[in-house]
Amino acid sequence: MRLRKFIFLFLTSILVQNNYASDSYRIQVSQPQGQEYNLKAAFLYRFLDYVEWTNNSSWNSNSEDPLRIAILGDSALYGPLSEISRDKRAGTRAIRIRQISSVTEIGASQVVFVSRNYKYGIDAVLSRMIDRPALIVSEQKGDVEKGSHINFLISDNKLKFEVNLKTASRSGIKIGSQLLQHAAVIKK
Amino acid sequence: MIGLRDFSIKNKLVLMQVLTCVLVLGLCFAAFVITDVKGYKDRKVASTISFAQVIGSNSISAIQFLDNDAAQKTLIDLQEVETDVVNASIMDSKGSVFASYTRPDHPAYKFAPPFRDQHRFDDDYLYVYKNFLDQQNQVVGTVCLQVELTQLQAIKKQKFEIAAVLLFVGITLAFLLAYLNQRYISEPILNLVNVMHEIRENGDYSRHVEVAGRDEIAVLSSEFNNLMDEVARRDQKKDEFIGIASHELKTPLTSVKLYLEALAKMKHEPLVHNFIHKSKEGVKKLHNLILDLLDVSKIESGQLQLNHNDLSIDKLVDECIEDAQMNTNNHTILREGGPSNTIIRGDKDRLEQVLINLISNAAKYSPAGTNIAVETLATDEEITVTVKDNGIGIADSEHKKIFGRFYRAKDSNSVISGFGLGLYICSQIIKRHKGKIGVDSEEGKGSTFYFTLPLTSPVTENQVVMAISNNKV
Repeated sequence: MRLRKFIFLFLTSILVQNNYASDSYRIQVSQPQGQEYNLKAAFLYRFLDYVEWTNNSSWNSNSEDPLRIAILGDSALYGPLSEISRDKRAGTRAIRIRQISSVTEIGASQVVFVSRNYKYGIDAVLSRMIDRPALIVSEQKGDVEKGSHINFLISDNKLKFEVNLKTASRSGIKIGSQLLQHAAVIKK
Repeated sequence: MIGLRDFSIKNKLVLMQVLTCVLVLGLCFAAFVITDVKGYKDRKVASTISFAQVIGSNSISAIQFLDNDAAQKTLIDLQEVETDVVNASIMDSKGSVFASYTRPDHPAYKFAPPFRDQHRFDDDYLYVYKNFLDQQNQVVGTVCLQVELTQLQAIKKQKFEIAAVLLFVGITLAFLLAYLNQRYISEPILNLVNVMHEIRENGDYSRHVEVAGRDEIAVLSSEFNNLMDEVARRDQKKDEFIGIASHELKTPLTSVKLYLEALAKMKHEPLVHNFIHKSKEGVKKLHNLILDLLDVSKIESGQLQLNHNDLSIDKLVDECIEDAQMNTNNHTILREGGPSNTIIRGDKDRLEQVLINLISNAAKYSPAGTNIAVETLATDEEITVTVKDNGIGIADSEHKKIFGRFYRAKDSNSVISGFGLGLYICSQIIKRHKGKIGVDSEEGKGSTFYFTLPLTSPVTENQVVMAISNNKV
């Protein structure tokens, strides 16, 4: 009898989980790379709502200036992000996406995404970008300790992110509390 | 089944007032309860919607960054504030459950699409769906809440209790007021009925109803008084007419009677003699009828004068028996019991009229060959004279009526003629002698008529009138 009850409870809990937990997202994450980058693109786009560039007064004063995102290194992010930028804006600004292969091409970008395919890694970006008003987003384990402002990671089959508030504020990047509350790790 | 018509006016009035009270109070309370319940529901919807809005705006980023745990925590935290929420779910823009919460003591509920801004009630719960938007005004998701309406039941119960108590108090007050009020309406009506009843019993048309106020009942009473005045006036006119007519008829009839008597004394052929005899009989009957009418007329106008003298009751009775026996060949009239040896004071002619009337009535209503017994019975205070027959008798219900004017027994046929005035005249004569007249009878078993006269010298109306006029002088 006990065993039966246990099995019943177990099956029920699985059913309930299936109903109430967000399966859809897990499936998306565990899908091939395309799904993962779709999600990363969506997250990245959402970040724009909660981030302020406090050290960039000339850009801030002109609300018509586009928001530029540079993707450093080959990445499947380009496709979905371009898709988003086509019909969505960041507040009043249009979004421009560029695929670059060298830190020298970063220029005046407000966001730099460092692909895991970028062979020189985050350090090269950080040394170049020190104290410059750009949000640095990466996707390699340990990057946030090194100084990346936001780093994607996958845990429990879910896409999560960690935040380094210290380096972000040094670069004049203010990250909103509503974003922070969803961060897996916050480094201060 | 008891119809409304069988209720007395008093009960109808009370019933009407109480029903009106119940109706009005019922409507008031219905409105009161409906407004209260609606107010509570409106407030509940408003508070739940704003609560959903708070959850929604706190969950935008959670949905954006797929943070189920954060959304779940929001639901749990906020549930502590709004404990009526039994089930809460946050749906994402695709309609899948993103986070959900169920109060531990309650079964889980699966919210059904469509997920747009709406609310609805079922018996125990309020369901609210509230969309929330991101910075670009895109629908990010929907907050769905199932809220228990515990207070609604409490409010309903409380209102119904208050309603029941007030309804009871209201009905009691209405009943008391109605009960006090109805007297103003039913009492005058009952009074009117009583007066009508008395008038019917006594025939006293001069009796008036007291008229108070100006309402419909006062109008009715006053109209009734007018009607009675009219009846009394006509009654008087009729009496006057009877008086005049009988007087006018009497004079020529008396001369006809005298001439016939004179003719009867002459010698004629037997046939002529027979005709004269028949005419004499007819005229005698006519004469008696007219005398009756005249008596009634005198009684009604108060002009019946009695000539009081001392007289022996034994002598009176014997003379009457003798007279009556002469007029009837079919019955034997007997004096029963011994003589009473009593002298009374009264009008000899009138008392003879009474006794002869009673004896001839007895003869009229009893079969031929039977006896009629007359008896006198004296005590210290009064003397009773009874006339007993073995005739058809009189039903109980008729006993009172036979002493009224123009009364004739129901089954009287044309054989037994007359105006029905005899007993009325008798009763008036006895009444004026301060005596009593009555009958003991049963249908089919004969009747015993009696009258009683007081032995103390009766004071007559004439003597009173004379005494008053002497005092005046």
